[in-house]
Amino acid sequence: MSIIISILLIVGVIVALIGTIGCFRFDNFLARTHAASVVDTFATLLIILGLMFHYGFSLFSLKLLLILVFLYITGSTAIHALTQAFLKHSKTNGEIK
Amino acid sequence: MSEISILAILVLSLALVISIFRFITANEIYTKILTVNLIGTKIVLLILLVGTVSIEKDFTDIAMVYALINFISTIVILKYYEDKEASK
Repeated sequence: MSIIISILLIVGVIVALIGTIGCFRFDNFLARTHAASVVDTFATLLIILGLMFHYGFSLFSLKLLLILVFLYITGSTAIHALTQAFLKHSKTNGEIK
Repeated sequence: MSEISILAILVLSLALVISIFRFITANEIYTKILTVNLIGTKIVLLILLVGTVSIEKDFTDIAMVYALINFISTIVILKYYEDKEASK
């Protein structure tokens, strides 16, 4: 069980690091949102799943599940709103047809 | 478990420093808002990981509140800049 927790935590943290570096390296804004979404969804899933295995079947796991569902919904919504605003901005400035 | 948590906290802190540096060097406002959202998500994960190492066990509530504030602040800052551009 400890090995599963370790693998989930380490892989999740490495995915978060890779997403951050991708947000730094890409030169297009829409590609950058893709890299940030990876941190918002996949890294969050792996790390919170590892912590849920660690706490077992308890109230903490329920709270962690709540945080996971909440981060999934709000992270995707925030980045979607950001992309829509960027597209509107680009269309008014004539950068994208 | 404790050693793995500390290792995860260190790597996540490195990612946090990289994203703060990205926030400083970004020159357009949308990248800055994206980076603020990214930093907030990673701080939520960091709070949860610190909660496993520490003796205090009430960190999950703080993480929940932080996730709420992060979402609200991102949407509000975005709306502010959209209205500012529309009125120009």
